[in-house]
Amino acid sequence: MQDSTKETIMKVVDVSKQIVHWGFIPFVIYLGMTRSNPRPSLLKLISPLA
Amino acid sequence: MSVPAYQPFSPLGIPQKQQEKTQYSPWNPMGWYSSVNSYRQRLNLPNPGKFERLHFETKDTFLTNYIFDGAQANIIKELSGNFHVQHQFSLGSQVAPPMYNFMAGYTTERTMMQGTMDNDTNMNGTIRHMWSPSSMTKIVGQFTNTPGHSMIQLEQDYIGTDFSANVKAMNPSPLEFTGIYMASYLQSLTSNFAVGSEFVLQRPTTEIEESMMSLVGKYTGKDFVATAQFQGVGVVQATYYQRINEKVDFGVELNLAAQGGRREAVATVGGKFDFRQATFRGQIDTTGRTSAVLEEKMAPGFSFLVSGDLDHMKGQSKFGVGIMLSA
Repeated sequence: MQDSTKETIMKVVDVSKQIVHWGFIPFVIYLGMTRSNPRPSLLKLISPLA
Repeated sequence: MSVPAYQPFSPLGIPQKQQEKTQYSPWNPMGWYSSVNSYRQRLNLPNPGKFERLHFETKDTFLTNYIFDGAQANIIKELSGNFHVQHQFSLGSQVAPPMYNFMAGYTTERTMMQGTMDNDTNMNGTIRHMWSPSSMTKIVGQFTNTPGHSMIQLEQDYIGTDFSANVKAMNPSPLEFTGIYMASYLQSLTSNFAVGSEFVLQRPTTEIEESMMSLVGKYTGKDFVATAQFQGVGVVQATYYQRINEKVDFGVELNLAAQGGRREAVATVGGKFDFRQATFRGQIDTTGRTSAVLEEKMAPGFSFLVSGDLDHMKGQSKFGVGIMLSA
């Protein structure tokens, strides 16, 4: 395998790692907010006591 | 002349025979697999449980997963039947800095997704999906900003009628074939005895390669479970779990290691008591360490926790108080 291909693969892995690192929890919250029954209100998610 | 009835998938109008088991002669190797399989079905053995949950009953009476030190607060918010978030604050621990942890979890019948992030922006994520009642995939990832500390684990489980199989890969790199690979298999032999084996291959770099194999046995009685695990390098782990009554469980664990002329052994006894309003776990081991955790359910959705750990030989002690709120 050529070194440039290897470098490209490493870069792709690095970028997707960052995407999963910061995007996974928002994704879980998005799924929870839109696909659960009954749909929870946004206020309930944010405020610590409601 | 009557027209033959339309038969799907039957060329030349020949009615297809109903699929039935071909009877092979006992000397024909072609039939050995199906005869073994039908013999196996006739035995009607139970599933032995998962390999990684082999010591589960005993470990559940211990408080390894429940002990904490310092002050801790847990706020769990059930936003709907399958979505919850959790905030966890911990302070004043002797071993860990003050910490805040956020968790979000989404569960459906077949999928489970959970992510936690702490104040150092370390993210842990778990995805579990059941493709069918017998096949399950699990992906666990850990993402940190420190280079080289991130890891990913891929796992595939297969649960048969009388066996369980599992393959795992930690930090696999298909380019250089490095990482840790594990395969395990557990098979019921009689209705309460099961044996199994695990194989571990470690390849941290392309030059170093290490493999390990272990053998396990599990005996499940009416109110007890006994397991033993032998690892190739002279490590033996034996556990025994006894159910006293529906509220009291006891577990014993013995760890023996004999490597290179050095012999070490630790035995641990743990007990779990489920009361109407409280759960108490206590544990003592032969290194002189005693610990206990009490979880008192003060009101629906509010629990108070006390945890203590005393090492008599080293003269160290740890204490913790915590609250748990769920709404």
